[in-house]
Amino acid sequence: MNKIKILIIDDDLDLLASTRLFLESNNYEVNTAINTKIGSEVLMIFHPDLIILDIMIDTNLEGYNFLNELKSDDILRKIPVIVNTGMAKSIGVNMRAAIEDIENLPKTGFIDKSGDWEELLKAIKELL
Amino acid sequence: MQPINLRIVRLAYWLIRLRWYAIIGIIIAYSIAKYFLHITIWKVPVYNIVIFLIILNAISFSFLKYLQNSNIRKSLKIVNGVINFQISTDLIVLTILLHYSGGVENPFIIYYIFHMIIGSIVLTTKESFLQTSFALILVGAMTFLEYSGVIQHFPLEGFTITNMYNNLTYILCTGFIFVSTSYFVVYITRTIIQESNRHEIAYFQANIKLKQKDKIKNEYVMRITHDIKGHITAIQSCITVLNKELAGPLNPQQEEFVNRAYKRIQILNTFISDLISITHRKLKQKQEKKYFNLLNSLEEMLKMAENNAQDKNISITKNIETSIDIIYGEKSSIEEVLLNLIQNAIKYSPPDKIVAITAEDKQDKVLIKITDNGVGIPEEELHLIFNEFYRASNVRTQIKDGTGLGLAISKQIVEYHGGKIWVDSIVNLGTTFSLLLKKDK
Repeated sequence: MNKIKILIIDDDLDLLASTRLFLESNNYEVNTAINTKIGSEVLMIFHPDLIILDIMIDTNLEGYNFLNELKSDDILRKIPVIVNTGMAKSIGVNMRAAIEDIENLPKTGFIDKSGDWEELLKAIKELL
Repeated sequence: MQPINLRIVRLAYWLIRLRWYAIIGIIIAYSIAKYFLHITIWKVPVYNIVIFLIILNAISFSFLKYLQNSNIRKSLKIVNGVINFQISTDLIVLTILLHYSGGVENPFIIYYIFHMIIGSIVLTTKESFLQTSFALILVGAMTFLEYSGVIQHFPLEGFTITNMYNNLTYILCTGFIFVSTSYFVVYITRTIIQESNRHEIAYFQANIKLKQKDKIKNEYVMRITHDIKGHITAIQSCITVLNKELAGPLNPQQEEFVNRAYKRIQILNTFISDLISITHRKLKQKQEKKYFNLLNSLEEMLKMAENNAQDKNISITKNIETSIDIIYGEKSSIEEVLLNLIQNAIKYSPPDKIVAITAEDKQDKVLIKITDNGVGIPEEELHLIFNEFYRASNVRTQIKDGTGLGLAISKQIVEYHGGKIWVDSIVNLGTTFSLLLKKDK
């Protein structure tokens, strides 16, 4: 049986390690990348079914730019992306509005980096 | 906007008000002099001058009002001009009045000093000295013209010796004292006013600096708490891995300590989230208020708290007047307050008790009350309960979780909406939180 493949892109190694373990225990096949450059490379080889992206990876714009690149590729833009934000709930930043600038980005989910994995599972199931 | 500019307009109105008093004063002084003291004064010029002053003051007042409603930048210069014109006119009027009522015999000659003081308050230093010199020229001209017989002298019969105006020694000596007093008065008054202005500007600037510093502090706190939150999230996820035994089974002792760590990190997480929330609220300038359905919000928040209530077998009774529907405000913030109060009521209630929620329609306001039958708050701490991080003494040891920020945030939100929040409580009997919200802007 083919497991669903998830690629997590985040600059926090500890978060990567623990989230990976959690998702694998939920029967997903997981790969990780600590920056968007490696992320792009892994993307090409791994062909994930879903990407979990830290929007504020490295700098404030990095995740946003990566999302833009995804959109400009005809095949890649079809991959659902869960955007992980540090502060969405706390400060009510309208990340959705900021990201919906990118046209035709299919299936984008937003979760707060709160360590609440139930929410993550729910978002994954919704997007797939 | 510089406070000095608004001041000019205020002072212009003040001048006009003073002139009304002066007009009344002239009438009273004239009446007393003529009818009580039987001093001879020719009434025609006095009448004419009073009428002239009334008309002038009325025109000045309407002109000022007209200026107020027009383009501000040029208006201030015009207002300044109007003030200068008024003071010069006042000096001329005073001179004429004095000329027709005894000239140098009239002790009201001292009132020039009044005008000089008022002028020094209202005008710039240069203008003050100019107007003072103008006044001295006027009174000097009147005195010398009467002395030399060019114009008639109108003696104040029945008041004092009437040939002082002829006495050169008298005129020159008193003249010198008068001139020196005038310039001294202007100089001293200007010094005082300038000192006061300097203080006002310094205070104004200090206020601005304070606001900037507060903003910088808040941004700093935001950045730091955001970084802290990153670390907390990472720790929490690692502990969760252990807690859920994803990295292998735990023996009972390991499980115990992982559980302890897990609980504490959750508390820390909520704490930091609240801190970010409260700091961000302080930073944000404009927030979005609109009309929303309060009834729906109440129902939703009650539903959200249901699980917590069920865990402790607490039943929530509702008594919400159906006439309540739309109010004006920030929906998410108000809901945050409601949820906080409801969850507090549940948290501080022992199991199997009742939490009651009522909402009354008070015409232009809504009164919401949330009552629990829990541990209560000691009377001497009631006024402290809304302070940031405050935890009442009778629950500090019992209930470990919670940040102590919930009520502080709630109070901030309620006050931002122009509402009121307060608490009544009796220890071991229960607590009622009351929330008064405006329906409209």
